[in-house]
Amino acid sequence: MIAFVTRRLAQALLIALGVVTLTFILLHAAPGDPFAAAAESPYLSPQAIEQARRNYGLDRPLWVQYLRYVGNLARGDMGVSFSLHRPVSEALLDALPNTLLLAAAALILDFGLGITVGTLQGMRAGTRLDRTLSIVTLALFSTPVFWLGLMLLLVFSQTLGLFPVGGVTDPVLYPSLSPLGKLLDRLWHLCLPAWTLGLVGAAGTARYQRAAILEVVRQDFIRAARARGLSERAVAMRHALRNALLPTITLFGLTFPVLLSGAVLVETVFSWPGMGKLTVDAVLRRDYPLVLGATVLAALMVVLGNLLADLAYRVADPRTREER
Amino acid sequence: MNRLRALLIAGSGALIWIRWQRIWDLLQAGDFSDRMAALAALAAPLVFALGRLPDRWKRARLDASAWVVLAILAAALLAPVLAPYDPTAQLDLANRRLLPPSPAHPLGTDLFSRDLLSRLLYGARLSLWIACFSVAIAVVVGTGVGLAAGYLGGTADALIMRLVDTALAIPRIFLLLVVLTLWEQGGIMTMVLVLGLTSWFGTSRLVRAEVLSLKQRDFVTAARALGIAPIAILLKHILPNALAPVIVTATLGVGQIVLTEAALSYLGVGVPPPHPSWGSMIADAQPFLPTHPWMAIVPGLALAGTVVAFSFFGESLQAKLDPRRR
Amino acid sequence: MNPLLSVRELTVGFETPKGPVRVVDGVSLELAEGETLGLVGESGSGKSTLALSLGRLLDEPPAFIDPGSRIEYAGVNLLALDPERLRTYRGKAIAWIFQDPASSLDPVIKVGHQIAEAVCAHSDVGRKAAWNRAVELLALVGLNDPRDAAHCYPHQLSGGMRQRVAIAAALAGEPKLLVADEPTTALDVTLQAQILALLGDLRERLGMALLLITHDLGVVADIADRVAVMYAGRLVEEGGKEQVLKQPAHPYTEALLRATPRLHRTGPRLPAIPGAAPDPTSWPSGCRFHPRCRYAWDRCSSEEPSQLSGETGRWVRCWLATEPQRRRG
Repeated sequence: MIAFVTRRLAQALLIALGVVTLTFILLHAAPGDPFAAAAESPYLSPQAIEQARRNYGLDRPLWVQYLRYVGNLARGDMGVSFSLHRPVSEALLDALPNTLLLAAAALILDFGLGITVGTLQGMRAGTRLDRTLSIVTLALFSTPVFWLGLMLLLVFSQTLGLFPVGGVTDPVLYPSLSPLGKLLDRLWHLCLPAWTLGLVGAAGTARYQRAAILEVVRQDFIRAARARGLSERAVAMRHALRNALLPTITLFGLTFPVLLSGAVLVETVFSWPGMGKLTVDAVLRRDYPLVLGATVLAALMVVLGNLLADLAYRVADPRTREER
Repeated sequence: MNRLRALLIAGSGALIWIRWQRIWDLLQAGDFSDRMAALAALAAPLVFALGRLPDRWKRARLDASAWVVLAILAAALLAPVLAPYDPTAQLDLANRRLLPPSPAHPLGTDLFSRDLLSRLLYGARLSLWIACFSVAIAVVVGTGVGLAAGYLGGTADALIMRLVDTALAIPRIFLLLVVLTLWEQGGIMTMVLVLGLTSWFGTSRLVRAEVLSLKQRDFVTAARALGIAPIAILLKHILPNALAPVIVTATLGVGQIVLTEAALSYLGVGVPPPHPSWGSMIADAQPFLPTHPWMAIVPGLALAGTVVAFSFFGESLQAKLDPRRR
Repeated sequence: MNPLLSVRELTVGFETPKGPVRVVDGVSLELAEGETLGLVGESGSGKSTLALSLGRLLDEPPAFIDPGSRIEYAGVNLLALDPERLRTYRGKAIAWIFQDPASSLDPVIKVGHQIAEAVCAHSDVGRKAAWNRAVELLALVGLNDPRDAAHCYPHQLSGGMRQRVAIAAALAGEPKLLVADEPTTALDVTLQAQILALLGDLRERLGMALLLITHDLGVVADIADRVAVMYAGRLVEEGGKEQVLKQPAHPYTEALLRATPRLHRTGPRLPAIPGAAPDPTSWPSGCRFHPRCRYAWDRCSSEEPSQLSGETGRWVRCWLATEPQRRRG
């Protein structure tokens, strides 16, 4: 197990280094001087651009630049944002909790709903319920997440008035609320964005879980469990679900990047001040250090998510638990 | 089948009858794609009347999703003939802004008094054009890289696959945002190139896995034993066998890229204005959501419908081409 | 006395794209309490389908059981029961063990829990009591350290141990009838003998009836009381073990016996049965064995013989019984 963790950790570090290298290559392979193009931006003073040039050491040989870039990142230094005039790492750390909150809520909905629906479908494969749900999940899976967000906004906040239109808290009332009120206000604002992101994810998870259940119920031990007189419920919950959840753990690693991509769009729809919105604003202002920093951070989160999913799978499956 | 054919002939004939003036104009003064659209419209009834489905198609029995995909492709191709107005023309900024649906403007007009139905149709053309070309790039690059990695094996394989792992670790939108920011937001060709060059990772993995499993099979071993050159084995024996899953992923890929392009256009970094794109139409509609909800609903439905159609089509293709996987 | 299990005109098939295929076709058999019946046949003869259909363990659809069939356990027609009532018969009245011990155990649950779970399904006992019972059962099937074994996952046990665990799980409901479908086929020769000895021993000690399904006449010779032979979805011969093995009445049984290796006997190469097992989508006309039968004559391909009985419990489905002189010719 320890050997596995070490090996997997080394692999994750390698991929992280790869991501950093890739962004470096992208930056330098860009046609023309990105900083010259940035100079036309009304948001930037010539001094800021000059500082960025020095920051990236653009006058040095390429390999020196690369080492400096990697070294700075390793120390958490991502340069200074052009548009915000503050360190990129600070700006990202400010936005990160909002994104993590959104992602966590969406993840719970995604897996909670997806596993329930997928298991139900898998145990009743071929029935009308299964076919209907299959169409619903495929439709949801194909729905653009930002449009779904707008539609939920249209129905639940603009027509029914049940939820706020955007933001993390109520800008007027929030400061005067009690601690419990503050919490409720935050949750109330979280609802629509989290459901938007969670629903689309749940559709994918349900399709995956359905396939996993179908794979398991074909196996002999399910028939053997029935032959021992176990109830359908026990067969489904204890045997089919438990075995089908194993591959779904690895799905967690695959879901994470999709979720982060979705968060970029959902945050824009709901003016949710997270990493995604920060990045989009930075793109529109040609704020390279911020865009690169956000990308590196997002990729690192994905690498970490994959690592955790792999380790969780390792622990959850008794067949691999005590190997090596 | 015959009723359907009669319907198709009548429909395409009626289209020529109603829009013959427009077709004539397009033939005389349109650009290349306009002329192609006009010719297609003129040829359609003839094709339906004289042409016969090849027997193989009949046996494959096109299901509903295939018909929807064909209809979407036809609408996109014929956009110049079907659309009542120029999608970028600001018709009357003073009097015809933000009109609700009416006979003159079936879907209303936008803030710049542009006809929304025309924008929707041209948007389909643009989206699918971008998607098809990007997928073509992705398939060519992905297949090439996958074949190379799978066939070479060893260090080359390990290196290529680590690169793919790395690229896959960066969430798609972030990768696209970085590239699009750095590559100065250019024209539509830039979009195609960027989308294509960031979409081949999955395909390359798939092809590599297929090559690795095919390499073990008897017929490849036999070919090698007969002294056939590796490159010939690769192209003649392995590539055709790896093609089925690639076709399926390509079909699903069209839907995915339509979605991605729409997302980028929604964020304002995709198709540059004033070109019509479903994503930017939704973004433009967002401020008017409470009063003009149809402006956002319609392009979204078109978008979702297109992606669903391609997903279903891809799944049914998969069922037909590869009975092992369901 | 009523038999423990009585199967009447059982017909089981599968819906396929080419139409329904009848894999078990009008099979009738009986089993008394404590009796051991060996059901013998090649793979593809329908014997596993028969075994599963006794508890409606096939997925319906694609499988179907003809409505004219009856499966009576102690006088109750199992085919008429609703799913919940039927469940109470599975494991408690009839229990099953399957060919591959590795795949009949859930890979991610400790074997003790799997047995305890089966105990709980049939009696109202607490978790602790069920666990203790599981350990007892593991001891009963001859595991050396039942306490430790209960804490193991299936992959931590050897093939023979896994089959013992599968047997223990089947015994959890204290069944009156154990259906063993090729219980030793997946095991190597020394283990086969051990598991067979265990089954024989358990049958004696617990007074269970045993329906032993196998393609191996040698296995039947060891522990069966009576033998039924199945070919192409039909029973072709039935009788006491001695009768069937010493004086096979059906040419198919005869051919099977010739193809069975015996210890301590040297001789010419074992003759294989010529031809292949027939395709269930189109059974041969007349007697289903006639294309492979060395005695077949024209009547055999046009008319199917009915069950021709000699003494009670001894019959054969073959025209030879009416014209015995042809056997020499």
